[in-house]
Amino acid sequence: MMELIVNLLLASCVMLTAAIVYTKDLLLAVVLSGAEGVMVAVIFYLLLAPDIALVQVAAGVGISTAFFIVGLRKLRRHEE
Amino acid sequence: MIDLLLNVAISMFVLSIVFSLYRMIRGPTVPDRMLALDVISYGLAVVMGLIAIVSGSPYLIVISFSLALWFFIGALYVARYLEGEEIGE
Amino acid sequence: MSLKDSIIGISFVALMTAILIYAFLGYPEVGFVRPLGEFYLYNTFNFNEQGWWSASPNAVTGVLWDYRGYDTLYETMVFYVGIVAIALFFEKESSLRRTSGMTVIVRATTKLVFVFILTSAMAITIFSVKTPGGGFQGGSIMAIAYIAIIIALSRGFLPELRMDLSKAHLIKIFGLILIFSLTVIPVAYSLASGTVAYALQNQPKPWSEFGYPTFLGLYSLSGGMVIPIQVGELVHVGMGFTIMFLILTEREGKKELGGKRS
Repeated sequence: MMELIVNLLLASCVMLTAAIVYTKDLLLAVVLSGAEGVMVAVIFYLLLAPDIALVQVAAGVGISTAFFIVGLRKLRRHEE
Repeated sequence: MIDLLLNVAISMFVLSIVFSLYRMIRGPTVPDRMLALDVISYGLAVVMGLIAIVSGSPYLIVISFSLALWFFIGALYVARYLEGEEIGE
Repeated sequence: MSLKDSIIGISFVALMTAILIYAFLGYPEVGFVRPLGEFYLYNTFNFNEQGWWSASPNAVTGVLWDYRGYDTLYETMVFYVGIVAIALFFEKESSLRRTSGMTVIVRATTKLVFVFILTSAMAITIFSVKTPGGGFQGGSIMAIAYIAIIIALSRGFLPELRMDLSKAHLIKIFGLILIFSLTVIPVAYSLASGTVAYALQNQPKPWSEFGYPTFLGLYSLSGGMVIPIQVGELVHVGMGFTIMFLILTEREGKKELGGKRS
């Protein structure tokens, strides 16, 4: 059961990565990268590594998204 | 009895996560998707807390705090961007 | 999007998927322990053979501070050098101008949540002996609190919280000095008196006459010098991310705009 859930989450990570690569809307890409970070944090939680999941939620999801949004403010939102 | 109640609560929250996942995949605009992600994350935080209660290991509950607290901030970033003003002013 | 871009994207995703599947196939079974893991499991809390023990009940803390303490110390140093480089390139004279910020609902909620986030950062850091967490996690959560204040209220609200760019630099350096002095004092003591002392020790060793927790009166609180070092790292990392965000949200080309207006 646990392996099935972890495999589903890994597959959804791959699909989210493909969506991030192919989308033209950079704000949507930032939101989807936040969603992918949450998926990875849930995988770490299910594999019983709560300290790594804490780093992932705080630094990988919270702070990197803030820096992406600040960088996006200085650029254009839509590609091409 | 209490185990049955906890299991029912976990399955109901997972069902609500699945429904919000539909809105996140389908949602035409970015604010729709951000709100759906908000709802998913709050549901995940509650599910993590319930799993910690069921499995009887209280150190698993720490992540659910920070996940719930972050997603308030995450919605704040996107709202500030969509307001169209300089960030930090 | 052209055909070439699609081929590059699809092949990249396929390569990453193959690597992930390969890594997952090589995942060891439950109960399998590598020789290095056997060393740590055997020696971390072994009363009978005290040659390599760390006397730390938490094996992760033992590995982080007793066996690989200098690794953790130099990671902190690398973080400090990164912050210094960013400040050197992008820092201008900062203007913390107070503006209205977002709507009143968001402002009131953010002031409430700021207190919650700071409390949880302190709790994650101080109780890191028994629960998952530590200085880096608590520091990044503390930085999220200040980033929320900057976004929802404005940069000009920070002086009301007794916070400033120069004050943030000072607090960060204070955290670094705390870690550095806690590391260096036992080495200096050992060199001066000619006895055995442990530089990055977690728990006091009975055969060494210099032990931090009995020396500081902290033995009943947690055991070990983990808490002072973690507090130093909390302050260092949190203030570092706050300084980076403050520098990067500085409005570009302010002087040119002012010149045109006058």
